[in-house]
Amino acid sequence: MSNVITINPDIRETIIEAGGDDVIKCYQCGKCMASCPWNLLKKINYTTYRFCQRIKLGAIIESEDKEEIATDTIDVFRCVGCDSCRYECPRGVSLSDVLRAVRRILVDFGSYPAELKSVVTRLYNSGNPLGEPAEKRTDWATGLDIPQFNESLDYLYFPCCVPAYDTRAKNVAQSTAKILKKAGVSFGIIGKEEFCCAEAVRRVGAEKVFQTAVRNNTELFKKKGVKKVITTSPHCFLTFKKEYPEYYDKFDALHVTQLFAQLMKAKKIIPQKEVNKTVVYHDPCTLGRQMEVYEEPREVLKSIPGLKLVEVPMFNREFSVCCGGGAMGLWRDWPEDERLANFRLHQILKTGADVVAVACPYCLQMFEETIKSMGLELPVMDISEILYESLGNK
Amino acid sequence: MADIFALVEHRQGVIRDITYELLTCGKKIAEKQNTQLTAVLFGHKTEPLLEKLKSYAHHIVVVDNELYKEFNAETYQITLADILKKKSPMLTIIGHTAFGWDLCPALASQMNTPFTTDCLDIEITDNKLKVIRQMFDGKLNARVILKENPSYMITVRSGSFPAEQGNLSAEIEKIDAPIGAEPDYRKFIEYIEAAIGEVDITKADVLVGIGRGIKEQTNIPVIEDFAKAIGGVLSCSRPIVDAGWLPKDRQVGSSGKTVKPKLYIALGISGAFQHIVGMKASDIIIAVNKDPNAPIFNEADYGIVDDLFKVVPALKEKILEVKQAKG
Ligand SMILES: Cc1cc2nc3c(=O)[nH]c(=O)nc-3n(C[C@H](O)[C@H](O)[C@H](O)COP(=O)(O)OP(=O)(O)OC[C@H]3O[C@@H](n4cnc5c(N)ncnc54)[C@H](O)[C@@H]3O)c2cc1C
Repeated sequence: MSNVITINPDIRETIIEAGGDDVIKCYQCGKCMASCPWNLLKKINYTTYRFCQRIKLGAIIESEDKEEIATDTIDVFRCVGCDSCRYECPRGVSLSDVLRAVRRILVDFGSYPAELKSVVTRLYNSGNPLGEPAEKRTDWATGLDIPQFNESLDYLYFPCCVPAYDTRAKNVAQSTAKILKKAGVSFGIIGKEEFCCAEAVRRVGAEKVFQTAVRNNTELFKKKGVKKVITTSPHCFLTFKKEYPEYYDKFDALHVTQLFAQLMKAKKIIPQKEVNKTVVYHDPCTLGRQMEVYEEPREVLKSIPGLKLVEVPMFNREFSVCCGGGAMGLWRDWPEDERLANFRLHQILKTGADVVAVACPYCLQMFEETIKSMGLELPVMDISEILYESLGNK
Repeated sequence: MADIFALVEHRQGVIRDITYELLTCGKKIAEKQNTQLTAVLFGHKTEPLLEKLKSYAHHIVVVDNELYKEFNAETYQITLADILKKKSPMLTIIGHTAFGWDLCPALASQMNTPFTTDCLDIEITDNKLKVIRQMFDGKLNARVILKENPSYMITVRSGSFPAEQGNLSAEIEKIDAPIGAEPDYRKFIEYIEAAIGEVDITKADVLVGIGRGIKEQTNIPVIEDFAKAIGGVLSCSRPIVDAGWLPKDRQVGSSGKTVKPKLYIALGISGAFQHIVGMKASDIIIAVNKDPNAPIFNEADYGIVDDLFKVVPALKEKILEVKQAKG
């Protein structure tokens, strides 16, 4: 970095226009840096509070030196959008929004990490990040006798791409659907015509692809008369609830754990079979800090007979630490000593729990696969899977 | 009818395989066009090379000079342009290799010759050259018809015309080099060999992917042996890289490389989606896994449910047998 910075108002204005207006609020107190999960890792020094100042000066990605640009780009794309910085910020600055604005510009120029580029391309071409055919989107539901959604049904169940296609995560969608059926919930699925909700795509800055997804899904919801959507992923939940309404607001969304809690209160589902396990619940950042759903998942778990619910001391609820899967972290990789999932799992292991309960397909994947690479054997289960087991099913 | 010319590619004294493919291709076209095939060779101390080439063409035009000891696209361009101007062949074929990429566009432009690259198939009818080449990252085969012209130039993808044994006896014509020295602005300096261990798995036709199912690092040599025997290269899933058993550049998957080999053999890989997205475009996928429910079987064209340590030796033996039978 050179000692003299040339102020570049063009860069500043472009970033602010792309949605980075929060930079103006920042007074560089550094609380964001203290709360950022990356800085919990010994190896990383992620100077988050500098972003805003540098953007105000137009001094980000302004270098002509390839190595400096590369380092800057790594930093810009490191943020997983867990929002712990916004939570701590005295002025409510969302660094993930600020960085998203910077990313939009980089994505427009095509200069972003190759592995993200492939996911965005796959998603754009096939409607899901796995690049699987749309026809297979409801394969998970084979044999479950779930109706195609139509206007006479109360809810559309939108399982998110990973549970729709991934062999392991399919079990989450299946357990959920079986519980809903058992409880007599009136719901249906669409499948083929759906597009990924594209929340993660928006976070990496591929705004145009996000817009394509929104257009597709809102047209579809309109056409089919969807009023309420149940989501398995907190990421679909967030974007349906907070971002889609800007384009179409005639539908509402809720996270499946909220519905489970309601159904339990109404005695529509009664967990009977004992699950004699100590379970630790990991708050997904998107469901917790960002959507403020903390209690319903816990209520569901606590109502299961035999189950002992434990917490990660201090780092629970709004202080939960990200699994690293957000903003397409699910598709990226870092050296082992730079993996957020490793750090979080070490915290989780200390609780001595037999099972890690999650309420997000990203957390499920990140933890399961990281546990493997750590050479451990610790089951990770979605709340729907534990609940289904306690309803007297395997 | 004018001749067909094919440019000989050699490196460090060895004729590259592509040359024989070009000559096989050239001979076929020449036969159909009722004309003859000329191999063009630039080199130094070319006797042994000429000996090898003799049976593949009707004529060999050779420029033997120290200048051509190593490939330099500039000297080649000047020399070949000179020869083409004098001899006006109807078609010049060159390999679609680093060598051809470097030379052909500038040469075609200098000669003002219609030119197309990376051809998979070639046909000449009524003096019109029609070729097949791929588009959209290999998803489409396109037929391209070149503007009618007395002469054409193409580069040919390696492997498109399997080399056949030659049965001709070439007449050799020696020509003097039209220049005295390499141009100042571009000189051959040295060969830099790729460091051992550096392999580009995205370029391999056959990949043998290993996963946690191989259990111990000490089991890798057996699999490597197997890979070599079938002409393949080792790749792996992330845990193998995490364990430090293979370098990161061998990792297939969302955070590794995306590969599209002709054959991908997955040994002891469960098939997590981060792995699958990196290899599902392979032409043929064979999976070996103990667990019949492993997701990898959803992607595989052929699946073997068994212990990989039993399957690999058996597979190796069979493949070698078939290879031997085919000569
Ligand atoms: C952010 C992130 C990015 C990732 N990126 C990648 C990536 O780019 N590439 C990648 O590969 N992974 C990636 N992963 C990891 C991925 O999720 C899986 O954990 C990994 O691919 C599993 O590797 P595996 O199949 O070798 O191991 P496992 O899933 O443990 O599978 C081993 C398999 O071997 C079988 N087996 C065991 N013994 C034998 C035997 N004797 N004979 C036959 N079969 C046997 C078992 O049945 C099992 O199916 C990533 C994970 C995360 C969280």
